[in-house]
Amino acid sequence: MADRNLFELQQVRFAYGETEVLRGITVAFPPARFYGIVGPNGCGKTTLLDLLIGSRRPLEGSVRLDGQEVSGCSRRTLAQRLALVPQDYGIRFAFTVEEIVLMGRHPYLPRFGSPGARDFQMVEEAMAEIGIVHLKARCINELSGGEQQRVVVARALAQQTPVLLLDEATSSLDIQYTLEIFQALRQRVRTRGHTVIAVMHNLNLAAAYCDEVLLMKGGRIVQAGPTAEVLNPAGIREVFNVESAVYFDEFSRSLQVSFRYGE
Amino acid sequence: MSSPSGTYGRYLLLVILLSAAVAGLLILSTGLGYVKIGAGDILRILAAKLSGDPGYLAGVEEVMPFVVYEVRLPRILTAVLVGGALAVCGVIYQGILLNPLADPYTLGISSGAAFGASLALIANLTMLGQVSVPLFAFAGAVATLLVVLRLSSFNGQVSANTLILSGVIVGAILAAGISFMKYLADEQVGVIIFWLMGSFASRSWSDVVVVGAGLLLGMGVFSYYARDLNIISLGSRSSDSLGVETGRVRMILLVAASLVAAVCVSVSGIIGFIGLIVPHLMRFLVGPDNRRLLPVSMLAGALLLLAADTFTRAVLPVEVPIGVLTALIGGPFFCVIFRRRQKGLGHG
Repeated sequence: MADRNLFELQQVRFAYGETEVLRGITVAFPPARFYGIVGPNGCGKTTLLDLLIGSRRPLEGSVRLDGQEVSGCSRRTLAQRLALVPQDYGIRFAFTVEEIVLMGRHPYLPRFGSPGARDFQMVEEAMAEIGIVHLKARCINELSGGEQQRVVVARALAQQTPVLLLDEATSSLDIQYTLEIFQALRQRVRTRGHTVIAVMHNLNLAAAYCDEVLLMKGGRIVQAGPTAEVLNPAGIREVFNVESAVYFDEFSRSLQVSFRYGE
Repeated sequence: MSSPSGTYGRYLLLVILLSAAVAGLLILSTGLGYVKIGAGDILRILAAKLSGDPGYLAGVEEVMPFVVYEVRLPRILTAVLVGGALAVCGVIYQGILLNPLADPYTLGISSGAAFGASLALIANLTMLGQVSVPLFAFAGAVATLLVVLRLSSFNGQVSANTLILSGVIVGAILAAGISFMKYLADEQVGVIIFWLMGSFASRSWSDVVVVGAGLLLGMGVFSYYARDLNIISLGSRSSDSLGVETGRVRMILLVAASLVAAVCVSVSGIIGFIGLIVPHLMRFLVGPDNRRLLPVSMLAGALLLLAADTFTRAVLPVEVPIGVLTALIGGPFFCVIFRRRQKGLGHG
C-alpha cells in the first residue's frame, strides 16, 4: 500500500489582521504516527491546529485531509474524523462529567435523536480509559483543573475518531496522569493505527512518546522529521535559545533532553 | 452526589406542575379585577366562545363575556406570552454569550426600542394609528441589533465579549438620546416615562397574535438548535471540533432571540429581570441542558409575569408599572438566590 498522507499542507499562510502568524508552511503527516509540535509561546502552534481542524481557513495555500480541502468539508464530517482537546476548556455551565463526555457523541447523533446504548458504552469506555468513571455524576465546575482536563480528554476519546489533536492537553496534570494519558494515546497509535498530533511544551515527553517532531518558530517550521533527528542541541538552541544536551537514557529507555541552568 | 439534571420523571413532573399553575393562574387572574367573576362563569364564557354555542352562557351576567373576552384575556395572554418569550430569550442569550448575567437586553435591544418609541411619542407620530409606537420601537430595536452586530464583528467572526461590550456602548449612547428627548418633551415626558416602565394595560388580541407568533417561531428555532447550544457553551474551539457550525448557529440564535425580544419590548415596554432570573432558577432545578431548560423556562416566565401583572392590576390599590414591579421583586430575590448559590459552592 502506498504511504498516503493523512494531512497535507501546501504553502500555508495565516494572519490575524496585520499580524502574520503562519507563513510558508509545507508539511505532510502520514497516518498512524504520534506527532509532537514543539516551539516557543506564540509561534503559531495553536493556529496550526485550528487550520487542521477547520476552525480557521488559511489565507493562502491549502490544507488537505485525505486529499480533500478541509475548508470544503462540513464540520460534522470533520468531527467524525478529528477530535480536539483544546487548551481553553473553561466550561461555564454546571453539566455533569457524563454529560460532557456524551457530547463527544454529538457528531454521530441525528438532530432530534437521543444517544443509544452504544453511545453510552463508548462514553463509559472513554471514562474508564482515562480513569474518571468515579467522577461521572459530578458537576464539571466542582472539579479541579486537572480533573476537568481529563474529562475533556475523555470527551475526545468518546468521539472515536482516527485522528486526535491535542493542544497542551496535560498542562494541568500531575506526572502520573500525564504518563497515563500519553500511554493511552500511544496505545491507540500502535494498536489501532490512530494518528495523534500533540502541541507540547515538555521536550522530554515529546522525546519519549513522539515518532516525529515539528520544531516551530516565528510562524515557520524550522525542522520536521523523526524525533531522534529533530531533537538535537542545535535545533533546540535555534528555537528556544537555550543550551541543552540530548542523550539516550537507560532508565527511561528513551531520548532525554537536559538543560544548562543558570548559576 | 446526584446529578443536578435530575431524572426524567422529575423533569416531567415539573413541566406538568408549571403547566397546571399557568392554567390555574390564568383562570384565577381572569376572575380578579374591578368586577369579580367566578371560575365557573369564566369556563362557561370560554366554552361558549370556543364552541360558538351561546347555550353555555345561561345564568351569566350579560356584560361578563365582554369583560372576559375583550378586556381581560388579551391583557392576560399578552403577559403570559411576553413572560414566556423573555425567559427563553434569556436562556439563549446566556448560552451564546457564555455569561450567566446576560439577559435579552444585554445587546441594547431595549434601549433601541425605547429610543424608537420615545421618538414616536415626542414627535407625536401617529400616521400609522395605534401601531405607530410599537412599530417605531421594533424598528429601533432591530436597527440597534444591526449596529451592535456590525460593531462587534472582526474578520467575519463575532465573539461573546465584543458583543457584550458593543451592546453596552450602543445602549449608553441611546440612553443619552432618550434623556435628551425627555428633556425636550415638556409635558409629554410623562408618556415617555410611562412607556419605558412597561405595561400590559389595554392590550388587544392583535398583540396576543403578534407575540404568540413571535414566541412560536422563536421556540421552533431555539428547539432545533438546543443541543448545538449546549455544545457551544463549551467554547468555540470545542464546539467546532464537535461538529457544530458554531459561527452560523450562534448568529441564527442571536438574531432569532433578538427579534423575539424586540417584539416583546415593542408590545409591552421594558420589563426587566424575567429574562435574567427565570433561566437561573430553572437551571438550578433541571440543570443546564437547553433541551430541558427552554420549555420549563417558558412556563416559569409566563407564570411569573402573569403573577406580577395580576398583582399590580387586581391586588394593589394603585397600578404600579409592571417593569418597576418585576425589578423591585426580582432584584432582591435574585440577590438572595445568588448568595445562597455561591455559599453552596463554597465561595461564601
